[in-house]
Amino acid sequence: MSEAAVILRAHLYGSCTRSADPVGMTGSRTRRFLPKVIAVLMTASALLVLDVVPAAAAATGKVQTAGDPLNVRRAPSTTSTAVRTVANGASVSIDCQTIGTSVTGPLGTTTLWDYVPALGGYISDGYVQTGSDERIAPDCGVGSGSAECSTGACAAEGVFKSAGGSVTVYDNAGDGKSAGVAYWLKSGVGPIWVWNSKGTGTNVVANTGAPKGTWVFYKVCVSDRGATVPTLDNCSGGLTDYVA
Amino acid sequence: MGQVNRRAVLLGGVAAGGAVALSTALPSWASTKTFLAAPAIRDPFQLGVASGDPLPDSVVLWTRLAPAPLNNDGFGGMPDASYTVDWEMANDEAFGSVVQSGSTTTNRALGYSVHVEPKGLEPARVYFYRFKTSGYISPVGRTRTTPALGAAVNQLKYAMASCQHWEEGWYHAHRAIAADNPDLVLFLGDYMYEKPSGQAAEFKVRGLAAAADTTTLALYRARHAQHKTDVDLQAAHAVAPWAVVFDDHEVMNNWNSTTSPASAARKGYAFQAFYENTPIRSTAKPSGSSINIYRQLNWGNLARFHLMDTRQYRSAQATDKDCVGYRNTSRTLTGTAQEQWVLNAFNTKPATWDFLGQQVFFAQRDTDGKSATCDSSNDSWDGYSASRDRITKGWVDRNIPNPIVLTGDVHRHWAADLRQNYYDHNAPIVGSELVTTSVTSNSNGSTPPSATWYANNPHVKYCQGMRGYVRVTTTPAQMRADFVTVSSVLERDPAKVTIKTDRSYVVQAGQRGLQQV
Repeated sequence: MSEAAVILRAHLYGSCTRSADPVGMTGSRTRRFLPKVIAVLMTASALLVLDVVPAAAAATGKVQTAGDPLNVRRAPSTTSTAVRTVANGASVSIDCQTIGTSVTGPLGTTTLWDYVPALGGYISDGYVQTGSDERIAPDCGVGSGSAECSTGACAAEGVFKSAGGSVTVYDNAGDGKSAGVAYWLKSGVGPIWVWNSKGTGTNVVANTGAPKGTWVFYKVCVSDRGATVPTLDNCSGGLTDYVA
Repeated sequence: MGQVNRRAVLLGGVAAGGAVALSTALPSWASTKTFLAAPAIRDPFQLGVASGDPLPDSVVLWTRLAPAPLNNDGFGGMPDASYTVDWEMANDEAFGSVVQSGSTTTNRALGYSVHVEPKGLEPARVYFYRFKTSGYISPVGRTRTTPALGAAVNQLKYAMASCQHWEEGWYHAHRAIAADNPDLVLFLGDYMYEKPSGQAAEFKVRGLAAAADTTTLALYRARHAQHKTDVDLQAAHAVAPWAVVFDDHEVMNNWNSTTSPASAARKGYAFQAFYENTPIRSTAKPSGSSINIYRQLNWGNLARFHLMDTRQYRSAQATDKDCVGYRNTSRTLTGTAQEQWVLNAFNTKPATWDFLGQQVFFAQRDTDGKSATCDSSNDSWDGYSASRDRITKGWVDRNIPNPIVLTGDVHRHWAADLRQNYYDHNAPIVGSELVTTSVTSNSNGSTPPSATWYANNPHVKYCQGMRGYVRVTTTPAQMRADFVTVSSVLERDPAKVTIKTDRSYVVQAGQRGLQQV
């Protein structure tokens, strides 16, 4: 652990940009709950913003390769689609981290992947100087977007975009099967399926309609939807993200 | 991860290696421990609030922190840290008159559940409560304390419900229970199901986020959490204190005291998740594969509830329709200790009405009505008839004034009178039984008993195969049971659903037997 990492963490977790339910923050109701000094601060902040999102300050890292550009994957798997590359030495802003396939890079072997919204995907932490061997960002699902692969060779990819709360379903395999994303909402509804049956290399976009700030739990599967008795296969473990 | 390389980079760069982080050069607040204390979270009050097991001076307050409630690790999206949760109780919904407040902590070992047991409350009072953590304030719940022991009470209105398979329907019954504004809600088992629905697709309205059978603590926790995301269930919890007992599906289908079908480990996981997700007292904290949930609840001089556990201590089920097994006097549904506990309670008569809240059908249901065949369920009290005889004889011998058995489990409304010998259709009536249908389970309905069946079981007065709940209004003079039905649990839109009282019965105090209203 380094001093730099400690500073990052204090910034990430110690800051207090979130605030309470605005309904609960009015007048004397709140003050009764809070130490006197904090109560003043919290009440003041409630008057300013209705932000209920935790500290969104991202951690930063620096890409380190042998010199080649580094693949940015749509989902945290080496079998996921490479959506672009990022140059050696580039600074990246990491919103969250998650466990994916194991990768050996110049900084070691790791299953940790870093989500970089500005790049539209994930890069292996084995290629990123983060100043720490530990996690330097929260688990993915922080309200800036995320993605999962179906299990196995990533025949299906599902991307959740927090901005607007949409899901995009990619079919990556000519396996005669459909790719699907199932999602559940705060209201107790689910699963709602978004299917892509258009064939390999295509995608389908759908809006979840989930209200801003609420959670969406989703998982990514493949299915032989044309079969008499369709089955769901290779479903991912599922991930909760939030509509921004 | 390859720490060595990375550290080498760091040592040559902006900062020192890991050991330096422990040095006193750093401010104390920058330590790892401080960082772990409470990472920022999103609104963790996604599962609502609840209260339960009221006493004259106390009631359990409950919530569980879960900003991402469906995560299949069972931790609801909570970072691995300890969280401080503040709570307060007030006389009014606006919390202008706070009567008590305090602070507690929760963590991963507790599944981020919160149980508070305030003391020193006043009897027979309505209170409002809420929680706060990490800058978020929970929804407000309403609860109440029971009247003082022996205090005169004009009326108690409670709801009883059971069997709410997540997939098999919408929880309109809970919406109606909340609208009834009851004093108390009894939940008589099968709050969650350990396995996916076996119903056809057209009889399912939603799905499990983790469809696997709940064989791990993580999966039990996640399954409980998914149920508690339902807005109508949250509303019913927030309206009144609940008294909850489990049946089989909180663990697995038809489990018993042995390790088959449910292993000791599986029971342990299920009990831990049940405790974490139920507004129940700390006396019910499980210890390994055992949990103590049978208990009494008194409502002044009007009513006494014996909340029973008819799963954990029962002998293994007999072979179906095996009369020798069914009638073996060494077999038990309650276990010896619980049987003695309830019989001892019958030695006192603190209240007009005695309600035995339990899980499985108490009255006999023998299809052909012939004692030679035991044409009845091996999982209900019929399969443990000696155990039933001992309990019934216990209240008869001790002159319990008004015994009423309350039951869930069977997904239909039933009303029945109780006898000591059901084959003798002229035997005296010694009590009555109210069976509540399911909230959702088996939503495709079922066929009613035939005229012949009723003729073979004349103590059974009523059977209704729709979904719903039972509303009981108890006064010193009578007990009234309204069997409420929901027109469809497959229709989500409340405007298209009719909720009505299908049938009502009363029992007059001091008299035996159901009277249809």
